[in-house]
Amino acid sequence: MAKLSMYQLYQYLPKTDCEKCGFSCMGFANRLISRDVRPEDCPFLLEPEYSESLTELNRLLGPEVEKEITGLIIDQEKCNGCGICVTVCEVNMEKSQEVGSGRGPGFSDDVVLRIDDGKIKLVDPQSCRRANPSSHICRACAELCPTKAISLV
Amino acid sequence: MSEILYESVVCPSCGCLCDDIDVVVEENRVKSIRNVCEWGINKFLFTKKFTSNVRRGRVEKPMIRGKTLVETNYETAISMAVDILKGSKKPLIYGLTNSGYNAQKIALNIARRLKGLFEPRGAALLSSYYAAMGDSNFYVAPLEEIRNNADLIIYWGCNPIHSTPRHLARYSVYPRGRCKERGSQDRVVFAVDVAENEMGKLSRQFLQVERGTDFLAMETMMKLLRGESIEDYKGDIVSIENMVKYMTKVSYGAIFFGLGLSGKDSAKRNVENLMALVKELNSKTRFVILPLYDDFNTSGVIQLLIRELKSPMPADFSCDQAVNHSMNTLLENLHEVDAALVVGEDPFWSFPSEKSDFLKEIPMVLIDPFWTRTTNKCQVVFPTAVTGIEAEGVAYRMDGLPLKLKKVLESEYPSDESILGDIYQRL
Amino acid sequence: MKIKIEGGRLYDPRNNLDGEERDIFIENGIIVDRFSSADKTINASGKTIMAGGIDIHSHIATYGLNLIRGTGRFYSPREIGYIYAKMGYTHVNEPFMTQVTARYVHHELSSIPILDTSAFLVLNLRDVEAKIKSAKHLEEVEKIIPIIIAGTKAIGLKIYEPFVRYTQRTHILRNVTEKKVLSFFSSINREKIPRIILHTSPELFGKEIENPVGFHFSHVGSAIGNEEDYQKVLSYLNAGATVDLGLFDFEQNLRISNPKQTVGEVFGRVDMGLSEDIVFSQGNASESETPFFAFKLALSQPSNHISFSTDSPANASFEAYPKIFSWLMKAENRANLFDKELPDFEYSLLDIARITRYNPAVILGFKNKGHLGAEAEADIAIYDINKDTKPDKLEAGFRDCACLIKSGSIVVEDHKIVNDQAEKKTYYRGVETLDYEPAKILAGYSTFRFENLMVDEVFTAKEVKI
Ligand code: SF4
Ligand code: SF4
Ligand code: SF4
Ligand code: SF4
Repeated sequence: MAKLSMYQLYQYLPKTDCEKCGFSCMGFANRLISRDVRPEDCPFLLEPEYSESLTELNRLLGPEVEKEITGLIIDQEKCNGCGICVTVCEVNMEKSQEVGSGRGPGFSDDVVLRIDDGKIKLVDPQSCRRANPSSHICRACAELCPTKAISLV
Repeated sequence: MSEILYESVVCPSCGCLCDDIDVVVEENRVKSIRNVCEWGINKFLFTKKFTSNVRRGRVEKPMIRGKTLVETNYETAISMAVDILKGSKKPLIYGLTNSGYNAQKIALNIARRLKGLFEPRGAALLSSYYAAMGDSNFYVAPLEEIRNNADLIIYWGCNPIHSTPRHLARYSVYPRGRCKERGSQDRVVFAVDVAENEMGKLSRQFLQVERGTDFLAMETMMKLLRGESIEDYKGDIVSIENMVKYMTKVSYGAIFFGLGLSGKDSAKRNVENLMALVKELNSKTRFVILPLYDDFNTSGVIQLLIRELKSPMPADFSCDQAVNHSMNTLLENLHEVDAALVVGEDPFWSFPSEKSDFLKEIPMVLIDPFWTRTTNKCQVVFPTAVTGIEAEGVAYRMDGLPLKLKKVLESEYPSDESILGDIYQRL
Repeated sequence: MKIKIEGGRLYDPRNNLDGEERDIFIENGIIVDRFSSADKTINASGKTIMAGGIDIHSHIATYGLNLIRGTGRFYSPREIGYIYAKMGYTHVNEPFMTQVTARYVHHELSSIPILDTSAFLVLNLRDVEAKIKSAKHLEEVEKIIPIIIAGTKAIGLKIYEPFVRYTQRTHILRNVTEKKVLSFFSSINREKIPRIILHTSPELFGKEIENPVGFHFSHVGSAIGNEEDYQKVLSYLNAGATVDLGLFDFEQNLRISNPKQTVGEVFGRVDMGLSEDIVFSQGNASESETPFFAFKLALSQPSNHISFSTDSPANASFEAYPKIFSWLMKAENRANLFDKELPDFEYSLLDIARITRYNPAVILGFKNKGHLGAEAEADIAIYDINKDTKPDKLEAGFRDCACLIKSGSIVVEDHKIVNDQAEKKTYYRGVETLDYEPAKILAGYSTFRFENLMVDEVFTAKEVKI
């Protein structure tokens, strides 16, 4: 997935700057990217005439919006299951003895990232460093993914 | 029906043989599967490589050719296969890099008994590699030790992200090793290939060479190492210089090479030069070199050939004196054979057309679980269980360490090992 | 099949047979007291009968050897089986199997026809570095090691490098000295881990070993460089340690050694995860004093503590055993080997049976091998020699046994191999109930999951747990 741009999303907004959402339309677009808001937070988008825009926005933002707490955007289409992210994630290593040396996590190990059915899955977003404001900011998985299947907002 | 969990299953897809696959099976189908990469999962789901929504067609019944291929029973197919092979002066036994070790062994015995030609897939590249091994003062290590120690990883003529997806994460760059505790931060990656690819992003140096000229780059590196003049090299000399400078400084390097070096005319020269380069490097530091097999048991058939014949070369049993290890590989001496037994391979997809055209002229027996381009060209076709998923077996990882392949699904089809066994018995 | 061997002279230290004439009865692969009607009778009158030979230390399936074989410099598995069988051997023990290469070693051993096999597990002390620093983990280690021995289907524990040594400066704190390692393993309870095999290197003689009785020093002859070392070995022996000799031949041999001991042309190096590489080279180690001391030791104290070996193929290839037997048995056969005087002791046939059958069986822990008593495995070699055989005929006699029976089936008859399908077994030291859990720490740095490191039946011949 190409990096989303603010302008791209802005196209689909009502462009009225009514500030019902608390921001301008442009500001809203910006927060859409960082997953601080959802398209549904703009009341106009819920109206029938904007239904196409709403669908399009949700498509662009991808199905992973529920992972908003980490700010990791995962595009499963691109992922080839190479497991690099699983291996380099330090939280994974803390949670599973197996991971550090390159092996996949054990079946009963609770980890953050795991390869399920050949694709990457953020199984426990709560434990990701990014979800936890007190820990240092981590971007290892996104930075090292060779197929750009993980990106950051 | 309840779910069954099989833990630590070995993935029978590429030479990595990842042994950490956890499979949940329900009603004799794979329901979910963990740790397997995108390439491996297609094997488990019987779908096409990298397109997991397209199922591959299974061959469902043994078939023999009248005018067209018609279904028949197993017995008839076996007798017809035996007749073809027995009637042949010099049959070719080909493929086998996706079979278990025991199946490979029986196939070798068939070739021996029939005075045929035994040739595993990909021999062109491997023969040169092993031949050069003999006088290269080799340095080998299990993947464990490469991962523990290597501070420089070079991928030459291969893109592991496509051919062996988990190689980077399990064995080479990213895992933490005993003496490389920060994983990829403690290592440097170089890649050499004919076109820019994903490896460019993670390599410190990406050397792009023109197709078929890898050996020139290797030669140039050698010259640099020996302090000779390199003026006549036309390629990216800056990258080469940087690479060589770094190569001599590291304490432990590893080179993985792949099918990219197997160009029609350059395979031998490429590999020989690469081995010579490694030999040169080994006089200064430690460098391991390993081929990156993209079939899961190429390594097994090599081990087998060495154990049985003391040479990893394709074996020609047709001469009466001992075995003649033809350094020529299939592509050169195909005209001698007058029948073929192909196991788990699709020559009509992988051979250049003038060679596969020749194969159309001779009777072929095929053992393969799936329909391929070859299926329709054969006299006899056997359906078979998929080794490592529907049948047990032993396979060798690319570093020559064996693993047991498990059976996670029931299958109505016999394994290739038992089909080969039945043929062998009747010869 | 019931086989009766008539009229042979038996050499069997365990049953105190020194050339006594006895008939042997074989039924279902086992030696029995007697039966009345035999299916087959073998006449062995005037011939020497010993149990099948047991080679305690011969590299026949070490990881890396296959690459050497691929260049034509080593025997194929079939050749190995045939040569050993013709020499009257029925069991070979591979001395270098690591945790990671265990499946490889067993699979390759199982491809050798005729011979029973077993292997020593070389424990990489780095895998237990944190545990062997102090005696407080002793019990844990005593628990782990039998599990990993059983799991890798090994017959015993071998320590190749009695230390942990990192070259990286950052890891120096993890190093463990020889002193610590030797004292740690000295105090291990021998009920739990029987005899620990030490790879003997010249450096080892410089170290104090508190309690040699629990150790076996492998191919000790390769390491004795001077009189002082020699005395040290004698003192170990007197204290109850056991050794295998590591005798020499004087031809160019394929050597498997560490870089320091490498001589001649190097073919290849293998990184097995030890502090130094394993080097395959070809050369003649006989320049030094070492071979002399090896033979001096062999000829000074033949006892129940000494087994025959040459560290094959390093000091001598296994093919040279018959020649070396003939040197041990007759002073005139070895007269020209050295300038210096060797002891004039001459091995009897009983002594040969002791160092090539009985002692190795005891050290490896076999109750039913290495002797000819009732209930022993029917592994029996019949040689065309006797105590009056001329010195120059001994070598040929040992090279070419008249008859070999392996697990009750006839393998060699009339000096010819007639059958190479005799039942092959893989011997290993098991534990009563196998619970892998405590041993999993050993696989921390493996690329394999622990379960897959363990050796499954597909890699072995028929398994026999001792
Ligand atoms: S509520 Fe909607 S229309 Fe109003 S400013 Fe926000 S995004 Fe624009
Ligand atoms: S951002 Fe860091 S902690 Fe979170 S999943 Fe990625 S690597 Fe793990
Ligand atoms: S997300 Fe990227 S790094 Fe992770 S498995 Fe997929 S392709 Fe590999
Ligand atoms: S890297 Fe190879 S062996 Fe490992 S999961 Fe992928 S296809 Fe299977």
